Amino acid sequence: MKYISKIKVLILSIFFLGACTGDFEEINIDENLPTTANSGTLLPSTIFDGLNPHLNLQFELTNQLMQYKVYRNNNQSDRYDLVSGAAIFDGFWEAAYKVMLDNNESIVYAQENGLNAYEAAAKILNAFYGASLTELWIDVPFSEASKGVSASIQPAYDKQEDVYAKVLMLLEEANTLLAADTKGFVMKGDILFGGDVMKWRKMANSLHLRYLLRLSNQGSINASTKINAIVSNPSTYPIIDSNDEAAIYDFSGVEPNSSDFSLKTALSGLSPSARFVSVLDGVDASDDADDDPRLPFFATKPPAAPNGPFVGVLSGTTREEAQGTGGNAELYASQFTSKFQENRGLLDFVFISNAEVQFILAEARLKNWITTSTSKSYYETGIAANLAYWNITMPVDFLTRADVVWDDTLDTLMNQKWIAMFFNNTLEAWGDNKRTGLPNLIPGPLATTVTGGLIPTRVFYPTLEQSVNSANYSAASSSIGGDKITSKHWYQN
Amino acid sequence: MDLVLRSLLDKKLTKLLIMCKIKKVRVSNHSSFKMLSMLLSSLFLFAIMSVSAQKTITGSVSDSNGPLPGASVVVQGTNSGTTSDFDGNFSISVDDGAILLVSYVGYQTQSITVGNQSTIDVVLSSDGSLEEVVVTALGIVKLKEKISYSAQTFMAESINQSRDGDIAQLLSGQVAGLSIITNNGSAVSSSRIVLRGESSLNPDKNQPLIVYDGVLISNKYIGIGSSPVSSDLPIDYGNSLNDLNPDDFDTVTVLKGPKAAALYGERGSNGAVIITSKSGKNKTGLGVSYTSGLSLTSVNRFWDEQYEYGGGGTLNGVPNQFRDGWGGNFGPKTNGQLISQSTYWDPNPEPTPFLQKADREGFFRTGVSYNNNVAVSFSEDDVWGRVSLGRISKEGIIPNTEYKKTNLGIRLGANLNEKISIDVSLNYVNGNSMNVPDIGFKSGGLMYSMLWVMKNFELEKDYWFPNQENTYPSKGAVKWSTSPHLIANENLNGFDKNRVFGNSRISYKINDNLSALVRVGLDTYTDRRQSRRPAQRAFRTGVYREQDISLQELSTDFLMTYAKELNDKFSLEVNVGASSYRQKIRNKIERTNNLAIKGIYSLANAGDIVAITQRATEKKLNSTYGTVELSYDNKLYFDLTARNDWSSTLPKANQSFFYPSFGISAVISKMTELPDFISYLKLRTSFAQTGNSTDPGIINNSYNLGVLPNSTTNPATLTDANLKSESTQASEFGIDLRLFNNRLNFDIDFYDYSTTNQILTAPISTSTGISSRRFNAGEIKSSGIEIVLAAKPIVTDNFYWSSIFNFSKSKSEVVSLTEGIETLIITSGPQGGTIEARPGGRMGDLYGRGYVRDPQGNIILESVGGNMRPIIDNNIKKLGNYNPDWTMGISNIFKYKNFDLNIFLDYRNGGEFYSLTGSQLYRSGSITESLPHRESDFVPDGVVENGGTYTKNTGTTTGYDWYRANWDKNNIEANTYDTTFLKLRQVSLGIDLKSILKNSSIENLNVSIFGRNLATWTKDNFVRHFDPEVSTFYGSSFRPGFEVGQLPGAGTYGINIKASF
Repeated sequence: MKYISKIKVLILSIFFLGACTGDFEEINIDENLPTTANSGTLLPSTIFDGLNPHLNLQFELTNQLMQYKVYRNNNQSDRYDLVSGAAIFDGFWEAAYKVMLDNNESIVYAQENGLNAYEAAAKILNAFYGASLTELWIDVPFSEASKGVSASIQPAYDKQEDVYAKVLMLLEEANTLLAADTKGFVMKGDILFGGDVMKWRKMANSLHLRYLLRLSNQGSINASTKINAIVSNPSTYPIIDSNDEAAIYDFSGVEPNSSDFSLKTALSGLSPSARFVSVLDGVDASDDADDDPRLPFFATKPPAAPNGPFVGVLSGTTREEAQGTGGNAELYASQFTSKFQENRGLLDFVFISNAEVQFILAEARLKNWITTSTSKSYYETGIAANLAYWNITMPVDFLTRADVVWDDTLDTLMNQKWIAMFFNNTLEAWGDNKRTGLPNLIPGPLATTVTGGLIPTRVFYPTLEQSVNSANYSAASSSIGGDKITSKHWYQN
Repeated sequence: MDLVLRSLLDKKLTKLLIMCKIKKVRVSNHSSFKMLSMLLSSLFLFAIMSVSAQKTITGSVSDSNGPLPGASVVVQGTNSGTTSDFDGNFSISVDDGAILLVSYVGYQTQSITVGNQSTIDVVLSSDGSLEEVVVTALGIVKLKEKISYSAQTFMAESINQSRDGDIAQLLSGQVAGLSIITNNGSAVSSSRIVLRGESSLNPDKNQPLIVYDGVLISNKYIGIGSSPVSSDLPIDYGNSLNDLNPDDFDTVTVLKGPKAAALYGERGSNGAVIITSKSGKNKTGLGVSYTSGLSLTSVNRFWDEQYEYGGGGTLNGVPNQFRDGWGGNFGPKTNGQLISQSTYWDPNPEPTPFLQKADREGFFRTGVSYNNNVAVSFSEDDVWGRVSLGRISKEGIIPNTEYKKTNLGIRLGANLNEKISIDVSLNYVNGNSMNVPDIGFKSGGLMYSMLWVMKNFELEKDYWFPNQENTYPSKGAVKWSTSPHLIANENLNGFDKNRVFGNSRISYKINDNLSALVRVGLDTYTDRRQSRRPAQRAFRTGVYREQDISLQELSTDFLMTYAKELNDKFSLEVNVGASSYRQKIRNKIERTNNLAIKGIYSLANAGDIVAITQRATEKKLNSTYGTVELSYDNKLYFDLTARNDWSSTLPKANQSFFYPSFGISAVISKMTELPDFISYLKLRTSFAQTGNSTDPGIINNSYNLGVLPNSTTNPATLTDANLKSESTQASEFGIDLRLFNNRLNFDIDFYDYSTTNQILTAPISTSTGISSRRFNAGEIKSSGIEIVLAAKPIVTDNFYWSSIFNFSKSKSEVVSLTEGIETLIITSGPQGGTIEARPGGRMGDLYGRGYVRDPQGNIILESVGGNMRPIIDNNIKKLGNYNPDWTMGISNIFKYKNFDLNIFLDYRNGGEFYSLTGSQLYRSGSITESLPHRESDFVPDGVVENGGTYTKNTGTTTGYDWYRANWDKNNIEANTYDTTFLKLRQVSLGIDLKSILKNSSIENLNVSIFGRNLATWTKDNFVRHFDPEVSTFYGSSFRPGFEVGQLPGAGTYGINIKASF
């Protein structure tokens, strides 16, 4: 019966075998993936990850809405036939909140370790994305958002006024943190400014100006006073004052560090809009000499008539018309130049440009909110800054041409600002248009059917929100007057 | 002699070795049959010579397992008869020359002419269906009578007549409750198997376990590519089922439900398909079998195209011309009129006759396949073995696609002495291809390009411009697409997969009651895949990608068995075991999107960086388990199992989980007197619980490496910290009823499942910063009925007709999700269609955008640019369900003399799918449905709104605008169709040439011709454009309910020759 005891031992050991779980935790970790993160490794992601989704959004939506360009084959966006669930909008929403989640983790880490610069950078980026989100959707989750699964997984929507209040607060805090910073970007990772704390600070305060101006119709914000406080205290609130200081991410052009934008500029079926061409080709359309030098920089002559004038395609027409009833639009309409596609590093991501800051100041000065310099000077500096950004030499007579010369009107100012925003940040051109109605864009013939002739002010909430965050979605929809593409922004009142 | 020795040996073998034993016994039966027939013929001679006289005969009835109690022994033509006793013995008084009929349920009846012998020992053999024994979990072979759950067993020969397709395809429609989805039309393809409906909210989890000779075969498919509407189209390289060689199969058993597979633990919670290979024991001495097949596969279901119009457009101010880039085939009539046909490579050509030139269907070819297999087996006393070598070379219907497979299978077994026996199985498989197609609908995908070849286009084989090879642009397609010939010849996806799997098993008989078994199973493979793309529309600078996968699964288990007859009536069997399972997976993808030198496909030729993604995961699962089985009087059986798993994939506190099962099986026909026409009646019921852990590496919520160097980012999915194992409770009740002496057999099952604590990866509001969350929630209840009816309407000497009918109906209902979640998006299809689980809904519900309707249900139209169009709702609604309401398979076998004819029909009732191709067929003006209204405007059906009231529409539209607007791809409702179909799955006609080869050394020779997927009838006429067995491949998994650029349906015809020596 000797084996009986052996069997007992064996059976017992079987059960012990099952309980041998000592290395379980260790083997369950994929060694190819990091299990921890810090501000230094999160910062590059938070700077980079939202850029292409933002560019795609500009490319598919605001470039058309703001009548910079036309898709001859698919003119849905410029005739305002937007759909819910469009990947381009939902994709930006997702990317922006993801960036803010990484930022929020970085803020916690930075606070624990006294890293002011990282905390400030994260807050500036959060402010930028918060403002971009509300620009697209009006009420959006913000104070409860981007907290992963540790907080509510059904974040409530903040009203636009609360989103902007928080955006302004974040920028104020960032400026304060950076002013008191001593360590800088010690953990590396600043792929935007190479560790230059002052540039971050100027970005914060310049964005602050942009959003204050956006809200300036709302008296409760008292935007004009705050703008003056910033502009008149350059030591407390340094702002961008040259192209070198602009908040611009410079893609290397080598995958994956490249702009999705640049590839798409060479898409077939893409033409500058009739509006864009008519504004840029000067007083006399058939005379190249009075053309804005940016026109030949961006666009080609129609391939079939290289010696004739530039020809744009009318926004918001039927596909057939956009294709050109008079012939092949790809032969008889202007196209975009291939330089951006050939040099994938050429196009940047512009958080905020020097030109935009100058145009903001020009408007503030025109409205006498500030007292420094003159509107004319700010306006002309803005134009010069944009031409310099593209490395275009300004024709000597340019600032005195009839369609450019400063005439103390917001129309002229906003026209040049609109031109300067192209390939920079057309989402902000849309914001300006919502606030001022300028430039006065005329919807195309087909655009009237979907929105009754109104230019869309927002896009549909992501379809998924209807399913996974439905109570908050419904509340937000009714708060903004319905999940429609024409609901009004709070700042428009 | 040999027979006696064998049966003696058999009796001494423990039940642990029943598997070997059964096989062996079938062998013995086989040889004993021969001997018996010799014996009988000599007896017959004696009988003629002898004088009739009454005498008493004693004897025994046994089968391979030993005595058969209760066997019926009757004298033909009289009322006298008896049954064998508990020891299988009987005695009966007969006249000399009388014929005894010895019968037992499930065995072939033997007739024995009484001569001058006084004892007759009869060994009955199974009636060929082998349905009386079932290979159950852990390879334990049981009498079917004892088992308390549903199982269907097939002799491999019976399902593998065509030798065309993998095990999944062969089982398709044959098993009640088993549904299979596969990518049709490709030379190699993966399959998704679901048993008894979907009980998991994770569509990848509903698959049963595949066990081959005791080795758990990993059916995990590691894919490549993403959505089928992205430029990164998925590629189906075939899953593990392709690696098995059906020519080596002996039996295939489908164990349905958790009870059946409870002993396999978490991997068996969706049932199991257990395959045993041929051991070599079926023939004493040396045997050689050779099987050779040739088959042809060609398209038999394709778009029903219109042949009247070509592409259109305005060219240089002249309307009704042809201009590439303008749209679909809504242009001029292709009646030979002279038209300037502008393409982007030749914008202003001279006018040429406008004709139908694009022979799209003609692009596909007839794929030729060769399938050869040779096997050598030997069996000598205590040693047996089999070596099999198979080679398949298969061409796809798409030019330049193929699949080649070489299988080597070795099985060796030996009884080393009276106590120890070993059984080793080792398989090597190499599968490779220089090109398999992409799956999906986007530029770069074949069907997309095919659809956008304008009908007046020549399908140009000459796709490069002279001296501009591998350079964008190329010729032969509209400018947003790519030439199909370019795709077939240049967009190559090759792979080379080497796999080794096998096991070794040692069993040790400790004493008459106790035995032990140790088994080690290994399954390991490496798969190297490459994709090359020259510069084209979707990949301007060319792409080269390599993927390297290695997978290793090692399982070791130990089992002790104690079996004892407690007294006359009761017997007991106890199994105790433990196992350890380890899985390691490495997956690396390297890709460059920029080839420096055109036409050179190498990572070293990357023009910029090579993007690398890498994953390495490891999983361990330790288990202990036990079973107790009690039999009473061979009529009533009770069994109990318990298992505890420890999984490395769960948080420490939840790593251990336990689950029990029990079952009762009662043979009513042995307990009580039933009417004569009832030959057999068994009732069974069982209850089981199973647990299920999750994938490795998910509970840590590791960060991802960022896009740029030196960066990290949060993952898209976060897992709850206290994740628990899933739990499934299942109960089932079954009836096994056989009537009229087994001529009509019913096997009916009712089942009820409830799956709770499901581990879900559910999309959550992306405003949280992550896109999905993995957590426990949800309850799914499934219930269903399965009926297998086997009938033998005609059995005569020369003609035999048997018919097997299976029916299943199952319904899985979503009981709850979790608080605060009203819906769970299980999968998203293209264009916003989703499969969602909502409480109260059914699994497989299809949601999406559709028409806005008035209160009477009329479609509301609006005028857009002067054309009436339907308004498409921005809100989604339920539009269907991809699961069929019920399914049915009918298999008929007719045998006449040496001929046998096999006809198999597969029917599926109900279910819906969304078709992206359908939308595009309308929108491109490709199909006959798009012919009306081309020459003049028409008034579409519908209403228009006038200040809150609806009036019948009187506005007009053009056909062109209507087809584009109504069948817009985002209008999920308009593009959703009923799946109901009837398929002539297989017809085969064989002839057995054994009889004409009496004097040769060839023992068996069989020639058969077959056809598979010969014809399909669909309820919805529109579905004639497709194969209704629809699915979409997303990266690694199937998403049922969506059709996205599916390859055409194909039928296969072939011939097989089987010979054995």
